[in-house]
Amino acid sequence: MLNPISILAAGTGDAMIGCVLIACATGALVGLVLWSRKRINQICDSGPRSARLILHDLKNGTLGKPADPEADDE
Amino acid sequence: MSSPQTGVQEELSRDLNLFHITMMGLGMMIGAGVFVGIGMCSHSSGGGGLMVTFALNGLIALFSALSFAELASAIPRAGGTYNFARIAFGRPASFIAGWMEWLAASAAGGFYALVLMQTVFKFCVEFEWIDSVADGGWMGMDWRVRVFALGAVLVFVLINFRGSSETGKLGAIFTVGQMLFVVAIGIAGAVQFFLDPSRIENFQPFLGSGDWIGLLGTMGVIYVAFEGFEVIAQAGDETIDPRRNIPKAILYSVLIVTLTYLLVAFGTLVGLSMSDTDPATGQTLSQATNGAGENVAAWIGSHGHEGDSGFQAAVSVLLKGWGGLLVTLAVIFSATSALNATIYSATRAGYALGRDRMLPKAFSNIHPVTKTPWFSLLCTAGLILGVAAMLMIKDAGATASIMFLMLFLLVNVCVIRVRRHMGDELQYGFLMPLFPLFPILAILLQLGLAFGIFEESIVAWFVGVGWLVAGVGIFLFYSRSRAIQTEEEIHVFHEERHKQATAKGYNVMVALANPENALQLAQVTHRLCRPRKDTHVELIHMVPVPAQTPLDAAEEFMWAGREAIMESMLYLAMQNPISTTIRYCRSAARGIVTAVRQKKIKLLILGWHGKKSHSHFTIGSTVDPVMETAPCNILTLKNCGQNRKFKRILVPLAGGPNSRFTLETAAILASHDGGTVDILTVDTGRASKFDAEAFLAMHQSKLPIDPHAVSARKVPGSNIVETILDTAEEYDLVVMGNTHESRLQRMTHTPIPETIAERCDKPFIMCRSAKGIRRWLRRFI
Repeated sequence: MLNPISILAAGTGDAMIGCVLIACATGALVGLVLWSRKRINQICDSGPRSARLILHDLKNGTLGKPADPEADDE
Repeated sequence: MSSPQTGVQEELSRDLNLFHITMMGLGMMIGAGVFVGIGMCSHSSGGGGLMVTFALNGLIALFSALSFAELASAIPRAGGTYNFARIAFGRPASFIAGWMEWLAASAAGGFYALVLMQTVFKFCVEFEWIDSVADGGWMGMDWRVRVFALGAVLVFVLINFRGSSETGKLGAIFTVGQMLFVVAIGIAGAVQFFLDPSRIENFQPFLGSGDWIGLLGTMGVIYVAFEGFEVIAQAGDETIDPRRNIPKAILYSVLIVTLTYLLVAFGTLVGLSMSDTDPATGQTLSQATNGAGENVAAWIGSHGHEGDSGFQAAVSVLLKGWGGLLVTLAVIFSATSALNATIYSATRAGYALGRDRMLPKAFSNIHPVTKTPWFSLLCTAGLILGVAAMLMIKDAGATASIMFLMLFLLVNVCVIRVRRHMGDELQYGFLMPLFPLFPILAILLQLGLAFGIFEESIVAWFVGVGWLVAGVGIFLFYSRSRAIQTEEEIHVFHEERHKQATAKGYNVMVALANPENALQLAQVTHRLCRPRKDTHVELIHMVPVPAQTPLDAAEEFMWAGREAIMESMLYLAMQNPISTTIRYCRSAARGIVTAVRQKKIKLLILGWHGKKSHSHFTIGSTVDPVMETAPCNILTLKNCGQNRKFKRILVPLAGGPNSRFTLETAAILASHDGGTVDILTVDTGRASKFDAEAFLAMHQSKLPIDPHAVSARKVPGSNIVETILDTAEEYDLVVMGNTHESRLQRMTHTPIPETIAERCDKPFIMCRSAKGIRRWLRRFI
């Protein structure tokens, strides 16, 4: 019985390039969607805000955590 | 917002959740595009090229989807691309966006109509109902296919004019059906592969007779199968928690579609072997390709015009004959729903341009009866008919692809502009990572795909560029001077923060439809609420707006409802605390059920004119679904107005789950007028489990009425309906429980309570209790 991996390995350069493209594209797609889902939940859980405030929270590692009321006063 | 004149609250019915809007996107994406695309791609780029095409197209679509998700989370309102372009760049860009969207949706509509009819004709040939489908007649296609495609367009234009379209639930069922079908094909093929791994050789030669440059063109043409997620951004006004759910739905739909396409493409290719027999010809695949060393991908691509019916042929072989029928049904379902959706999508694009006076005002004219933008629909019909009459399937798909690519390109530019210039003003529910890498990548890749289409369909480029040039001309010489200049000409409904109704009080909702009905509902509500001091009455009027018309145009249709609400308010205001709401929705039934859930309603009161609106419904198209799904007690009133006294009330009972609630309702009404209640059972001579005397004895002490005023009565009769109707002549009111038969049972016959409700001349109230396991479960489903 033929082994699919060996067929691919013995295949043309096109097949190798194609398989790498398919794997990378699919992996990137799944990864980006899962990452985005987490980001949406973090932003919406802490209340939608302006892009600047969200990026500020991201930088400080406080995104998704309850807002600090004193920070608003400042 | 609330009206300054009346204090009546106006709201949008936000009744679409994450599942609904994800299904909406999937329904637009999974369709004829993939069914035709698999064959066309196999023809030009081989089996491996097919897989690469779907994977890369999915990733490119995701880059644009990230931009849509970010913009839709920051600007969660109806309008989509048109709105984004207006906010980012102002009038000229929004005109171009609307103009391109109009052709994109229309070209897609023409494409779906042609695919639909070609599939039907191929199916007829397979079953030998017609001899053959001849390519090369009228503009390269069999004239019958074109004629029937034009007929299909006209039929769906008429359906759209009537304002009807698939409801969310039905659309979701179709979409799930299509998904299951394509996943089943993928799994069937994958099973073949695991049984015989050597089938991986079907991917050799990897790119068939094509090359990597040619693959770019194929990707461009097939990109139409990845458009559709943008409709989710249009649902901002109707979605629950839009800042969270819309971006998620956009991204999920692209992910699900790409994985599904990859699975079905893989399954189709490895599911076949060159030694398999084609049931259509009786030859092996190898014989069919003349044994010239051809492979499965080449065989698939050899069907139809440039492989456009290859998938159908492949599934026929894979599923041994049944495949052809299944694919035909799947294509009919998907192309039908996509054709319908593209017509109303294009109509809305034309309407938006007319409303903002960038096209003549007639485009925004709404038909007073059907509530649809009829002139825009007429012009859209002309455009779709033009595409279906003049272009080949491939050219129609490529035209739609080019226009969507340009639209997506514009959105990617908009997302950069909006974040840079308005990032501090807007509230975002999602920010994409590595900004602005993905929008720039999307712009470059989509430009590449658009140029790639030039190789595959030069006609599409001519049509697309010609349309854009015409658009620029119209804007410069017509729209620029006439467009409404105010910044906020697009009416925006604010995100309402629903006041959480208290679960402790007795919340009663009265659904008002028209002024004639309003007073009778108010009068009965007044009587029913009297015994309870903690009652809060919510008067609600749903304004259903067809999908073809944006919700922001709904104000034109709310006057009858406002009148009804005012009349009821005047009647009830002295007795109970009242709040009043007008809600704009796509489906009155869904809107009412959503409102019941949100406002924690205990009792819902509906009116019924007494005639069935459609033979498919036991009572009516609104009352039936509300009765089935609303998680509260429901009373449906017929002919109860004019402040009648209910001195004698008849309560026919048979021991169903609504019996107690029915008796309580009758007792409350009778006690108000000092009347009596008779529980009626019909003695048909057959043994009955229900004992009215025992039932009365069990509940009598809990009824808000003198025990002597309630009695049980047994009347002999062979026909239950006729006996009850005859007995009802002696009474002032009939109160009866709703049927507890399943929907399947009700399809075969009209249940007894509904038959009596329709035929009874006396005032009638139908009761449905919220109790019962099935109804309890429905609260959570």
